[in-house]
Amino acid sequence: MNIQFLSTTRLACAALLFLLLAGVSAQAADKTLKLEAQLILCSNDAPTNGRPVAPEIEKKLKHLPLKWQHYSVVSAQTITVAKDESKPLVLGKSEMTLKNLGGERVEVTLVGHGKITQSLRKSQMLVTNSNDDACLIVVRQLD
Amino acid sequence: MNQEQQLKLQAFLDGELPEREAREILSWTQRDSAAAALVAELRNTRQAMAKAEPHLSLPESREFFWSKIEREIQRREPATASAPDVSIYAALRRWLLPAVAVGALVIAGMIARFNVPNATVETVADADTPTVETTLANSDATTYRDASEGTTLVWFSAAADASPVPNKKPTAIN
Amino acid sequence: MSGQNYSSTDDESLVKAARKGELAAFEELVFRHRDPIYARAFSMTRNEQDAVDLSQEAWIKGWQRLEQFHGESSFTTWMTRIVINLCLDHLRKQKRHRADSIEEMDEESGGVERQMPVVAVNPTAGLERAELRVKIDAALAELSAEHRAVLVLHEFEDMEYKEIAKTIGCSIGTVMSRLFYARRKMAALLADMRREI
Repeated sequence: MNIQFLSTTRLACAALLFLLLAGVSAQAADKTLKLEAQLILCSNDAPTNGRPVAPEIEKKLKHLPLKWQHYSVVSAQTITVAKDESKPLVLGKSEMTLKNLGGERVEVTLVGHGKITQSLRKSQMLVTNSNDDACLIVVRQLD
Repeated sequence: MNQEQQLKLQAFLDGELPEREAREILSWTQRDSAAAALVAELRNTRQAMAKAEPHLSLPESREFFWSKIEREIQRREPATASAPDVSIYAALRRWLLPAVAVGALVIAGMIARFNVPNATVETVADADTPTVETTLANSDATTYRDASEGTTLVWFSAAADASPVPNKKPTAIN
Repeated sequence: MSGQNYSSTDDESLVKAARKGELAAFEELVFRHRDPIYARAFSMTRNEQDAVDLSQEAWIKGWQRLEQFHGESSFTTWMTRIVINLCLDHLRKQKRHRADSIEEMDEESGGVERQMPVVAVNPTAGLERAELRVKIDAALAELSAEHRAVLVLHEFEDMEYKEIAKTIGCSIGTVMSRLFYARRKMAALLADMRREI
């Protein structure tokens, strides 16, 4: 019985040490994501109304080979999504769900179009269709 | 007319009174014009509501509404539970063995990470490449990735849709 | 999505299939009956988002409780009862955060509605059904949640006083006085709307 107990103690100590190490790397994988989705109106005319997009978003959009020159924000929503959780949201005429896959990977489902799975670290941005004419949807991770 | 009498008139209109009492109330309304007028008003309101219940439609598409229901149903499906093992050593084993297994995997992963210099870059590059599935059979998706800005463009289009890119479809680049 | 097409299957067969775990059969039931369930939730809460959320929750509970549906009523009636109970729970939670209105407190003592003059002329006479629906809807929005609930359950769900009392969790006397107040208020609102024309 004593021998069994000693073995169990050693195993317990080893397991605690492993768990600590595992916990450090698991922390990033379990992170809750704060995501923002924006509906962006695109045009080639200089905008007279509408909120201009943030400079960092405008810079990213201008680096894409899009046919538009000017962008303004129609609406935006921010949601917090825990790991393995998905949340629906509606932007204009578009219905979508955002799912946190863990490890800063997201699954974006655009109802009626399809599903995009990719990483979305804070420096990254996803741009995709909107059902509204001359509009895009931009998804990014916020602090 | 007190409140009790008024409520009796209403109950008479709604058929909630026993037969004897209903006959008494009917007789009262035939003698008393104020009672008759109140019953008439209540009856008009009841008839108006019976004819004109507002017809409303759910303000979400079928697919979207169902996708939320389906997700919740699957999330709430009960997991099967295993019978608890009473012995203390069995309990310890139940905790320790999985902990040891997880820890061993983490150690193995960390060893691999430190010993393979390019693994990190490849892992990040794979994670950045989006996986795209389309819903409709006659549509496709165009992907464009700008690694310097960390931007990915995924454009779903059916054959007749206008491209967001002038001239021709973009090709994915790094 | 399952390969089987359930669009021409009757409700009874859909329920049987759904009980065996066929989610696609349940989806067809949701598709067929989503509007009346949503409409009932909206008529009680008067809030579009709450009504969507509550009708969604009702469908989830409907799936979980399918074994309890034995066909004594239609499937829509059964689902409507589920959404009504969810709406009442929701309204109770909201009430904890709301102060009682003076009208509600006065209504409990039977004061306000006794003083309203009787509306002698039928305020809805001559109205087209569509126009009447709009007016009824606008008048319902003016009632408090408690009065509206009793009125909706009696007039739209054809519940008796005893059943309403059991559903809401109050006495039959409270049901009668709330119903009376709600009807008198509706008559006055409809008469006011008519005068505005």
